[in-house]
Amino acid sequence: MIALENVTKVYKTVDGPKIVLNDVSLKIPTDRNVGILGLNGAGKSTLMRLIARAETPTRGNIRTRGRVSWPLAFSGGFQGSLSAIDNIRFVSRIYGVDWRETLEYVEEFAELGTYLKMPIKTYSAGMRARLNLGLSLAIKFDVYLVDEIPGVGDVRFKARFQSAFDKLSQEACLFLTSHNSASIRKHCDRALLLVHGKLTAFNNVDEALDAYSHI
Amino acid sequence: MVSGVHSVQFRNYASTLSEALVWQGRVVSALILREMLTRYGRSGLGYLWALLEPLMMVGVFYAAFLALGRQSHAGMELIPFLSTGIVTFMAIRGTVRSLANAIESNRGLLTYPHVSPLDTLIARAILETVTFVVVFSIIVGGAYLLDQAPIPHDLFGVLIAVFAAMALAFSWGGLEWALTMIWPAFEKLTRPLWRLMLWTSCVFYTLNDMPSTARVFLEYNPIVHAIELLRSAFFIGYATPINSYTYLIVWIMSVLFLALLLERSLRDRVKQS
Repeated sequence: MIALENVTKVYKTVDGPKIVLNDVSLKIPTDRNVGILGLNGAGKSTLMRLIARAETPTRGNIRTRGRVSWPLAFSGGFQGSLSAIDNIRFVSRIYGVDWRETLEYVEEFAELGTYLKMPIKTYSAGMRARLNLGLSLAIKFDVYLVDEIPGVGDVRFKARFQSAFDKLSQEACLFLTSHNSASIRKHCDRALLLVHGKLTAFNNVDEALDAYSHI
Repeated sequence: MVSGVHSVQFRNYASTLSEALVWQGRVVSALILREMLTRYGRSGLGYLWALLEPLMMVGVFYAAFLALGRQSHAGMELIPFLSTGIVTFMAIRGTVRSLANAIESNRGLLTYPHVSPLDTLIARAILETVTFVVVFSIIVGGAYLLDQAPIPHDLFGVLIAVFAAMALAFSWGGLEWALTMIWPAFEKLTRPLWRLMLWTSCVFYTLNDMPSTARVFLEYNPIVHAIELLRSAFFIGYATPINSYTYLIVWIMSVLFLALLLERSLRDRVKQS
């Protein structure tokens, strides 16, 4: 269960304040996968970051039950100057899990071989995505916050990534943003639509996509 | 449940103070281990450099004092006298610089919800403090073995002074970090000031060496207080005109208050970018 209680989030921009969430109160059950819809710049990523507690609301309160991942933007999220192993060590330590076990899991899953010792800034987008998914799978969350499913590199790994992601989508709760309505339809049973600071919940993805196309 | 390898129970937020402290402890210790890699590297040569830099500076001043025919200064053996000034000053200067630049090398790690800019500042300050204590102990300990330094007269007082010096560096560094976030050129603007500070912080002279007209001004400098208080705790024969920690504590508390206030208001902005 993720509960938003009178949540307002305002950013200062050069054009004045931008309201991302305007006094939103909503309870979101985490037994089903949730798609998050909204135009570019509506604040989908901000909503994810608020749920992850990577940012604090301007006003109001967000309560989460269960283990929530960091926002998995598959392209980024690592310290580029450090190697994958050092990043894995760091993340394992902050979540209080044994880094050797995490490393073993990621080694097996991501098939990065000796690249694990290289700085992450030398990685391709596909390699980062593998590492990111492998690492978040190893730490085991109840709720995964996924900002766009990436396209990942070679054919062999793509199949592997797809099946791991599908498994994840069945076994854990996903919060997924995507510009691709097919992947929202495929993975999600519920949806949230974010328009002009208002967040509307739909129990049916088709209704949500329909409303989304009429913004 | 996903079939991963772990089954550790945790929540994503802390509902009690002790939980919050556990999170913070994990994050800060993970950051310290991560910082050790960049600060000192894997080879250990970095550790050697951290020792060599202050050691060379103490050596140069030691040679200069000897050339002037001095064997001690105001009742203090030369090496520990110079170390209390030079090593302390370099530790404060180094810590402030390290904190002012704490974010750039840790930006990727701020993605993780529990990692705040304050954590990176705390981690760096702890690492710098440990380095300071180790370097100071090695130089003064070495001098003791060569019969060039006494045993500290008031070891507890020495620890208090070291702690005060690093608390000053932490609060000052935090403020410089925040102001550098607001005006990116700020850290560069402070560099000439630091060059001036080297000559006005009682690094290689004592407050008593100065005429009273100069002392009035020097006593505004909090680093003077830290170094002088350290000397008077270390040497039984040295009495500083600085007679209490009051001024230093007021400095630390006010700068720390400002720094923490700014960190709190900048935190979200830093984490977004």
